Amino acid sequence: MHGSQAIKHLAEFLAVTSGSPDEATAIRAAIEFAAEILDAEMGTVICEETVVSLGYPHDQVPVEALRTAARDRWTTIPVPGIGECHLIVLPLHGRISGSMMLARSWAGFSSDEANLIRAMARVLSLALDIMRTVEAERTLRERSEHQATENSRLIRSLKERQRLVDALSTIERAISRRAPLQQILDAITSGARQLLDDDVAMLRLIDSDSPGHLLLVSSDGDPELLGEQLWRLPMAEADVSRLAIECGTIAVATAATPERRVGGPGGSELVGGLRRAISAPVREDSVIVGSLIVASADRSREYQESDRQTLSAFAEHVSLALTDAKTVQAMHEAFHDRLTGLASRALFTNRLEDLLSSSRSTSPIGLLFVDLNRFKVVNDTLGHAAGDQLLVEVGERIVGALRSGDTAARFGGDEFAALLAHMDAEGAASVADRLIEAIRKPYTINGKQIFVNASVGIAIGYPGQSTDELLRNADVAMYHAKRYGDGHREVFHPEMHEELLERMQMEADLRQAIDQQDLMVHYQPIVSLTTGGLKGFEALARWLRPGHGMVPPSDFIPLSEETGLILPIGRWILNEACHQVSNWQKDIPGLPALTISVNLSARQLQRPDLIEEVRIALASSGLPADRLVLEITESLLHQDVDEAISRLHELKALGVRIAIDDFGTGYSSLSCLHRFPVDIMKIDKSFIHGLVNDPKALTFARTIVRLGAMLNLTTIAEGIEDGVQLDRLREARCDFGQGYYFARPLAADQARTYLLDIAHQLSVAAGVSAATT
Amino acid sequence: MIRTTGSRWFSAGASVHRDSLHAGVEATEQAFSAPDPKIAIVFCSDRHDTAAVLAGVNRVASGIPVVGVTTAGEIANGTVTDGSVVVTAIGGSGLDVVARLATDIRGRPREAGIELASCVDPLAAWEHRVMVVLPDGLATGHRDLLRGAYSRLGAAVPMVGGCAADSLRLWRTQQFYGGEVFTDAAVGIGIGSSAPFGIGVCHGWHQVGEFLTITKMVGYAVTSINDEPALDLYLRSLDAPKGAYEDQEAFLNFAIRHPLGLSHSSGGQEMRFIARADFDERALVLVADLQYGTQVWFSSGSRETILDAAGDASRLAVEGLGDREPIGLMAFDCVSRKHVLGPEGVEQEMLRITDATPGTPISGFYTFGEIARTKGVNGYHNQTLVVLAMS
Repeated sequence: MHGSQAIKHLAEFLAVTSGSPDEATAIRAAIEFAAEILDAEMGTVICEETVVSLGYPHDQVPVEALRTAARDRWTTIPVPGIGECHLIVLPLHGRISGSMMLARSWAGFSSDEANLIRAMARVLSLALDIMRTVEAERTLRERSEHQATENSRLIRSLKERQRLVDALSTIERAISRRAPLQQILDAITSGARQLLDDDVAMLRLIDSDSPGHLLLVSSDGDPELLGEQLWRLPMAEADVSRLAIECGTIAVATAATPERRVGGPGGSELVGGLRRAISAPVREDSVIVGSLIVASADRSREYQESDRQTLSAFAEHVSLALTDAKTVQAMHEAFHDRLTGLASRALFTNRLEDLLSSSRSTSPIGLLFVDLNRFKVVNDTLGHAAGDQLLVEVGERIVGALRSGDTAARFGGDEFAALLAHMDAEGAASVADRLIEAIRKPYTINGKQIFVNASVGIAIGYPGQSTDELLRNADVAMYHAKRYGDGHREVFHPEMHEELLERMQMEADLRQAIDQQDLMVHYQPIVSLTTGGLKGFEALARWLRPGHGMVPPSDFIPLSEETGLILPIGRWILNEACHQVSNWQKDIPGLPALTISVNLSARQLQRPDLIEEVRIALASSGLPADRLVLEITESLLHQDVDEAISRLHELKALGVRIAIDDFGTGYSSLSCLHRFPVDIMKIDKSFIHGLVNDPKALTFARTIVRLGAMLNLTTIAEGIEDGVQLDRLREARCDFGQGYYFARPLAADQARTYLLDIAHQLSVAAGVSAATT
Repeated sequence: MIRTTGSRWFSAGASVHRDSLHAGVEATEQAFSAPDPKIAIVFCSDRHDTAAVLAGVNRVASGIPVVGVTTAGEIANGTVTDGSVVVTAIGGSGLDVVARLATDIRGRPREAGIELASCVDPLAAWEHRVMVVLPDGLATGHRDLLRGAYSRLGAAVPMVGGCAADSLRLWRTQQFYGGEVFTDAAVGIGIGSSAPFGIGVCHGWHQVGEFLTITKMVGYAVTSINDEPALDLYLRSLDAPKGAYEDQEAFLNFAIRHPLGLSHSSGGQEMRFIARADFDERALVLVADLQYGTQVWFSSGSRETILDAAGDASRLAVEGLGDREPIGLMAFDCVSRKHVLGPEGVEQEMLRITDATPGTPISGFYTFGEIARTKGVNGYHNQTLVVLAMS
C-alpha cells in the first residue's frame, strides 16, 4: 500500500472512530473500516472484557481462541468456511488494554500495511481514551459539586485530547498533501511541544552518513533553551535520545549533575537549563531511525501516562511522514533519471503507451530522439563529473525548449527523448530546431568553454500504433540525422529503414574490406604553380566494393567516422602512403624530394597514441619527417581546442608539417591560423571554381594567398580544373595546386608510371640543360 | 426450462402475457415442473400490476414461499424481455431455502442487513450455503446493509444478488414477500445445499490513466480527486465531448460508458456508476459512498469488452462448481450495461452467458446495483454482471 494512500485511510479512520457516539460503535466501525481497507475477511478488537469480531458467524465467535491468538501473537488463524488465514495482532495503547487483529485468506500483510494497522490501533486507543474521559466526566458531573475541580481537570484533559486529535489530523492532511517534509516535521515538533506544554521539542535522526551521530532536524520552543543544542551530536552523548533509540520505547530522563555526564560538560541533551525530558523512538519502515524529545526546564515536571501516549502519537506521525517521504523518493527515483531529474525510459514509455492507446484522440504524437555528439570526448577529457554536469545542463535546456505538458526523458548515456502530444511533423521539426539551437550554445564547465551538438530523430505516431514501432522509427530517424553531421534533424519516413539496412550492409562490407585489406590509396599530384614541377601527393582512400564498384570517399568516410572504423583506416593509409612514397623515392632515381599529405580525422586527433603511430610510420618507412604533411580541417579544430593545439605541437615536434584543409569554409579561419601551429593553407575548391566568373571569389583567393604570405605559410589551391584558374592563381602568387587539370588521383601503379615519366622528363631536361650550357 | 440432478432441481419459467394475473400463473406453472419446490423467486416488470402477478404466482405456488423484486428487464433462458414475468423455482431434497424480509431499510440499512442474514441461521447443517440479497435499488446505504449482513454471516457464506429496479422511471422499486408488495425493503434468500455454488463477477471496463485518490467526498458526491475538482478531472482525463461539460443528459450518456473503478488490496475490483454531474460543485454523484483516500481509476469499455465480461462471468461461475454440472444460473446484470449494449448487444450477451453451459436454465434481471461478496468484506458493485451457478 502506498504511503500517501495509507495516510489518507488513517485520516478517514480517525474521523470514523472519533465520530462514533460510544465505545461499542467506535470499535465496530474501526474493525469494519480496517477490514474493508485491508480486504480482510476477519477482524477483531479485544478491549478488556469486550470482544468485537467480524468474519465469524455471529453466534460462533471463538472468544477464547481469539484471546489466546492475541496474547501469543499467532500469525495464522482458522476462519470457518475459508480455512487458515494470515493474522496480524497489534496492541491497543494507553489506558485501554487490548488488541486489534485482522486476518485474511489471500495474502499476508506487507510492512506498509502493518504500519497502517499499527497506526490505526493507536488512533483507536486514543478515540477510546477520549470516550472514557467523556464518560468519566459525565459520571462525575452527576455527582456532587464538590468534585467540580476534578470535573474541570477532566474537561481540560478532554479539550487537550481534542486538540491532540485536531493536531494529528492537521499533520496527517499535511502528509497526504505531500507538504515539504521539513514543514511536516516542524509541525510535529511544534504540536508535540504545545500539547505536552513543555519548553522545547526536538527531533533527532541518525545521520545516514555517519550512523554514530544524531542530527537535529527539527526543533521548537524557547530559543534560549535550544541555543545550546548541538545540530550534530555523537550518539554516546545523546543521553535522552539514546534511551529511546536503544530500548525502542518511551524513555524519561532527568538532568545529571555535570560531573556525572558521560561526555563531560556540554555532552548531554539536557543542557542550558533543561531538567527533565521524555523521548520516543521514531521509525522508518519499522527500523528505528531517531527520537522525538520533549523537554522542560522545570525540575518538578513529571510525565504522566497521557504524556507518553501523546508523544507516542506524534512519534508515530514522524514515522509515517518519513516512510511516506521515502516511498515518494523511491517512486520518483524509479520513474526519473537520477542525474537530470527528467523522466526515465520506463515513465516515458508508459506515457507514450497512454497516448498511443487513447481511443478518444486521433491527433498525432511527436516523438523526438536527441543524441549528443561529442559527449564522449567531454567525458574522456574532462572527467565524469564534468560530463554529468553537462548532461544536467543539456536536460535543462531540453525542458526549456518544450511546452509545459510535454515529457522530456533521459534514456541513459547521452541519449534524451521528448514526447509531444498533439504535434504533427512540421511542429515537431520546429521543436527539434529549437532543441538543437538550445543545445549548441556553449557550456562553461570547470571554467572551460565546451561545445556539444545534438542530432534529433523525429517520428510521428497516431493512437493505435505500437509503442515499439514508434520508438524504433525515431531511432532510425536519429541515425539518419547523425549521418548528416552535427546539429541535424530528420523526420522518419519508411524508406529510411531500407537506407538503414543498406548502411548496415555497407558497414559490414567495410569491416571486411579492412580485414582483407581491400582498401587502396590513390595519389593526387600536388604541383608547383610557378615551376610546374611535382611537389608531392595527397593520399586519398579508395574502396573497391565487390558488386558495387569503386565507392567514393564521400560515401564511406563519414560512415567510417561514425562507426570508429576511421581509426584502422587512417592508420593503414598513413603507413601505406609513407611506405609507398619512400619506396618510389628509393626506386626511381632522379625524382625531386616528394611530400605526402595524409588526412587526419577528428577521432584520430583525439587519440593520444596518434603521435606514436606517426612516429612508427615514419621510422618503418624511412620517410623523412618533413616530407609528411598531415591535413586537418577547420571544423575539427573547434571541438576541443586546447587538446587539439597540444597534440598538433607534439606532431610538429616530430618534424611533420601541418596543413589546414578546406581553408575559408569554417567560421573562424583567422582565429585558427592565429592559434594553431599550421604550416600550409589549402584553399578550398569552392573559391577556385569561382575564379573565372566571380570577382568576389577571385578577391577571396588573392586575399587568402596574401594572408598566407604574410604569415609565412605555404598556400595550396585545391580543385584546379582549367588553365584560366591556374593563370589566376599564378597571378595571385599561390605556391602550389592540385586538381584534374594536372592529374586525377592515381592508383599506385599509375602514380609510379606518372613518376617514371617525370623522372624521365627531368633527366631529359637535365640533359638538355647540360647540353645547352 | 428445468434441469435436475435427481435430488436438486432448478427451473425458470417466463410469461409475456399482458394480463398480470395470467402472466403470474403462466410463469409459475412453467417453473413448478418438478416435485418438492422450495421457493418461487419472481422477477417482474413494474409495468405489471404486481399485486395481481403475485396473486397468480401464489395461486400455483400454494403455500410455497414466494419472494421477488421488480426489474429493469427480465432474463429467462437466454431471452431478455421488458414487461414480462420470470419465475425461478428451486427444489428437491438435496437443498433447502429460507427467505426473510427487512423493511424500512433506508433509515437502518445495517440493522436490515443483520435481519436478512438470519435467513441463513436455519441452514447451518448444510455443507454449502449462499445468501441471495435483493434490496430496493433506490434506497441508500447498500454497503451498510451488506456490512450488517456480513457481521452476522461471517466469511463462510458468500452473498450475491441485485438491487430491485424499475423501468427506468427511477421512481419506485418493489419487493415481494409472500403475497405482499413492499418498497424500501430488502429480501434475503438463504440457500443451503449438499452441492457447491459458483460465483462469477466481471465488468469488462478497463482502466484509463493512472490510479487516483479520492480527496473529498460529501455524501455520495465525489467533490475532489487528487485535490482537483472531480468533475473537471474526470471530463478532462477522459477527453469527454463538449456537451458533457454542461448538459446533464450528455454527461450521463458519457458517464454510463465511463464508470469509476475501485481496486481492493486482494486484486478485486468494484465499479461505481456515476449517476449525475453536479455542475455547481464540480462533483461526480455516485449511488454509494466511498471513503476519503480510496484509490480509484477512470475507466472505459467497448461493446466487445462488456460482452467478453458476460462470457467470463458465466464461465467463472460454472468453474466454481468444480467437476459438478450446473443445474441453473441466476444472473444479476446492471441496467447500464443493457443500455450500452442495445437490443442486439443484449442478445449477444445472453449467447455469451449460455455458451458456458448450453441447455442450463437461466433466470435473472437487470438491476440498479449488483451484489457479490466472495473474498474480503467488500461486495457492492455497479455496471457489473454477477452470475450464481447452482449444482
